[in-house]
Amino acid sequence: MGKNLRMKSARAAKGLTQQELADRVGVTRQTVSAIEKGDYNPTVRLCVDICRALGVTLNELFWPGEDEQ
Amino acid sequence: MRKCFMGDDGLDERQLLLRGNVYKHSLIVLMALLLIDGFLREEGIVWAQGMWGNVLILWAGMGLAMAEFILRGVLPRSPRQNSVYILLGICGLMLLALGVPHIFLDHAPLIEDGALTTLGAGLIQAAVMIGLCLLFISRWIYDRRQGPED
Repeated sequence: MGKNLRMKSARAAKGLTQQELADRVGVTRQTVSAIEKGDYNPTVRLCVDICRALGVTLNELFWPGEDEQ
Repeated sequence: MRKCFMGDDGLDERQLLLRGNVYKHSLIVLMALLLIDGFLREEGIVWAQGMWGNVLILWAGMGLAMAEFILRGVLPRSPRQNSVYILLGICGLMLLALGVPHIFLDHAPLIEDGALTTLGAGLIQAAVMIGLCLLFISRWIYDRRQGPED
């Protein structure tokens, strides 16, 4: 699984640190870091909460682009 | 926002997944050690006096699991739930403080007839407890130094 750079940039655009995003969605900072690095595949529930916290849609963050498929 | 990912034990979904793997490792280690212990008993080899063989095997399985929890970051976020590691350290220090004087004052042996004595086994148990506590403190310091971002 590749790095989730879109999530990282969406978080940066919102001005949040990994810790702040983790606190908002109720997980540990290490989990947010693992998702961004592509080391952990989150459940849909967590994906939805991350999208809500970052103000983006699921497609924007988690749907693979043509080059990723 | 709702925080639905933390269970009652304060772990998130990734940590729960890791916890399951750690339990599996611990179970395999326990089974292997019990098998070896059974084989040794069958051969008439007693490596620890009384019940201490079984107690140390339990500590080995449990200690490995706890060490893996700490190293892989399977720790609840609330400090209160992590206080078990500090309590372990305190209990370990108390065991050490109770055992060490016997070595110097009573010259009590740690190994007798090729088997660990109660004192020896107690000190190993204390070392495991203190080791886990130190590992937890190191992890805590490492996490604090890392800050809010990788």
